[in-house]
Amino acid sequence: MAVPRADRADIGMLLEGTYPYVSGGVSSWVHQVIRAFPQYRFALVFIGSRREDYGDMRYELPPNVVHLEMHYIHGEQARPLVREMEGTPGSYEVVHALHEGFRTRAPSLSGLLNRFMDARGTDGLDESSFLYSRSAWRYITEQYRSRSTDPSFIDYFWTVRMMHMPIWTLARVADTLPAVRAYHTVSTGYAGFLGAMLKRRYGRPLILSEHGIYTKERKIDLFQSEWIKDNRDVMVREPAEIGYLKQLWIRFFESLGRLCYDAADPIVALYEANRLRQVEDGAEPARTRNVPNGIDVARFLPARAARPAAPPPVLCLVGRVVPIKDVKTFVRAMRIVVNRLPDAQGWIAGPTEDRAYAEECGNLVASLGLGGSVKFLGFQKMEELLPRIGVMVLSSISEGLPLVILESYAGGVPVVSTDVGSCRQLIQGLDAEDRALGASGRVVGIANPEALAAAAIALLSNPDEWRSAQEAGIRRVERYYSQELMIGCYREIYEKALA
Amino acid sequence: MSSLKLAFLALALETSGIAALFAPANAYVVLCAFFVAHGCASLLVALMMMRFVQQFYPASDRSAFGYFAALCFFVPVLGLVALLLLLAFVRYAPTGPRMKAYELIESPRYSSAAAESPPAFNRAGIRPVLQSRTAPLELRLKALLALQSVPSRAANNLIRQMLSEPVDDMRLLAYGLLDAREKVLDARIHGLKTRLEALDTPEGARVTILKELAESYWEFIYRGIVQGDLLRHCVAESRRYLGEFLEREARDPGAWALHGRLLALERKDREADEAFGRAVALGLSETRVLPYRAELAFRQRDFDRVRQLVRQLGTQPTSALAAVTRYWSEDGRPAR
Repeated sequence: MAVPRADRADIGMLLEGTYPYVSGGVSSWVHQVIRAFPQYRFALVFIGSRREDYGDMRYELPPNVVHLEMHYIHGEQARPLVREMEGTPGSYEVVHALHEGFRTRAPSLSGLLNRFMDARGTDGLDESSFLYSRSAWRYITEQYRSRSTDPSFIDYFWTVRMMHMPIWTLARVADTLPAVRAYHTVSTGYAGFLGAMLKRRYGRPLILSEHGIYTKERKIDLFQSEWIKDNRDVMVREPAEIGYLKQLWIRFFESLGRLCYDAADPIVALYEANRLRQVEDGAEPARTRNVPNGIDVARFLPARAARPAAPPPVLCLVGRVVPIKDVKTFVRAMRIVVNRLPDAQGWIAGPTEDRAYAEECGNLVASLGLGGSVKFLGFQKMEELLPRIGVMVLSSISEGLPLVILESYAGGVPVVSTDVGSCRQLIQGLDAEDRALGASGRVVGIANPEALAAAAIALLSNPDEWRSAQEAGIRRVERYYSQELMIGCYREIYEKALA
Repeated sequence: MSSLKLAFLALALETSGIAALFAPANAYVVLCAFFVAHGCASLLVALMMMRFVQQFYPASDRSAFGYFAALCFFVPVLGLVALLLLLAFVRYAPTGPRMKAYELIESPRYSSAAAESPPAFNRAGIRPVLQSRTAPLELRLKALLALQSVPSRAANNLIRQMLSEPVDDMRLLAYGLLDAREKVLDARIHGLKTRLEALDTPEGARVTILKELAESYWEFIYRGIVQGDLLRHCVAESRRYLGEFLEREARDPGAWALHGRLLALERKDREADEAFGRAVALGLSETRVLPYRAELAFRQRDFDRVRQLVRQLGTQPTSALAAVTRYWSEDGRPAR
């Protein structure tokens, strides 16, 4: 597919590891928003890890996407030629002040970021200086001596370099991006940091819409990562203390998040718990707000009409086959379901992006003897899938406000979900009025196949409960989660930003 | 000899070789004279090239020398002249500011002062910290992380409780810890099954694999990773593989002990006790199965036998069972 290019647009969307090269809930949401505002021209900036990690575009770009550029922060970069340089004395004072600001959780970092941005282009703090100057070397070694609890200087040095190099990559992106009237980032992290730099540089508003909490997800990944070494001697290692280099990475992403929160207005969450988390992580409460996801309910009316009289004994998990969806718990639950309802089927509908994990899931299916009952369908159209399933299952360990639940409701399918993100609110209702609609499924704890299976079996074997859950789901999505409501909120946000 | 002298010598040799070709002499002699002069010139230029290249690639060896010599020898005149011109260009061409040779700088010395932070809590405090809803999140995360170094059987239950935590971070970390432990076992089982199904696996190895498979499924149960139907599934799979193993190796005491534990889980107390008896008869230390046999006797309400078995155990008390042995060793207790 040809990549569109333009030198100006209305909204610059900053997308890290998502649309249009990765499918999933966030990507669907981005696609939906772009299509809902044909009057605005969008310039998309895709930020990925390495070029080889992504395949072809997963979406056909709407005509109002006038520009798309891709950047890879860990890919091959043209680095400045190696040259001996002293660096400007005192140039690292601003870096030191910024680091102190992060450490002491200074109330506002915008002044410090401005100073950094001003110094970045100069001889004192450009990429060459960071990579090759004696000033940088002195700063890094001094930090190592005074702060590192990891004895390996080699690992410390390369961690610091690897961690900070994307900053200059992103700064170059900021230098060359087409002129837009407002920036919209759908996460903090690298995209959010780019947004913060763009706002400082061009003075245009920055909108942040966070579906999950990026910093938190990174932190959990880092806690468990095995690629970051801990070189402490076994005699001094405290089991409760995570390695210093892991701590560095965690603090790095926290700092990127804070810089983005500092620059963005509004800071949009999908639901209240996430908004409170944003505030806890440094977002100014007055700038935060909730805008729940919404879907085009009418699109699913034919699917609802095509449903058979009785719910088919099919449990379906719609989502990418990735660890965060905890497909293994769904497979384990299917072992229990099939023991009780031998005709039941478990379908997993979604692309297999993480091959190693998909293989683990396939092995689990085989080891539990579920070859005839559990199928991996790959990507499926929801409108065609929904009439063929009895219960939608989400076994995820982390979610925001999943579109798949809303689409299931619209298609007349009750949901059994783990108690993550806003799933409880979506199934049991948020306020008294919402709760009065009744439960549109069941909520269970995470990683609990027994409970997941029991809830699905209960729904499938009790026609009255199934029907009332179906009705509650339809009413809930029509009343609270329609596309009109969501787009209305974003219309107001965009109009204010573009004014 | 300096490079300049070498270069002149090489050129002189090459020229004389060429000149010899036109000499009015026997063709054989002429050809020999050319090859000797040309060969010497080629070797000299190769030597010069090696001197140059080794400044940058000290490890360059004879093959590089051979390469340069062959280039000069098999491309007469042109090869030699090209290499000499190249050397002259590098030596005399004007260059930009050159980077100075790398200098050695002192590597920073590690100071352990930064590392000397007092531990936030001791091991005994992990549970209260984890279960406290008022403790700071960072401290609770650290407590959860500390469980990584606690054996699965002791830690899994506590980690599992954290799955129902309202705080995302705690829940996700707990999930990650459990998942990492399960993953290892899943991968081991998959690897063993693949080897078992491979046609070229020798029979001796297959027997070992059967036992390892039974033990791996047992690990799921022992570590408290599976519950309910999945536990029953693991028991069934473990028994299936163990059964196949015992058909081939009926004299393995460890396998009989495992068989006994699986039967005990299935509440087949009499068969379980027999399996333990058989394990001991085949050479397993009595102490290893005494607690399980005592438990079976307890389930059958045969308290005299419990007392008798526990007394035997009492001679080698272990800390985990010390309280039980003390209780059952006291006369007259428990009340019948």
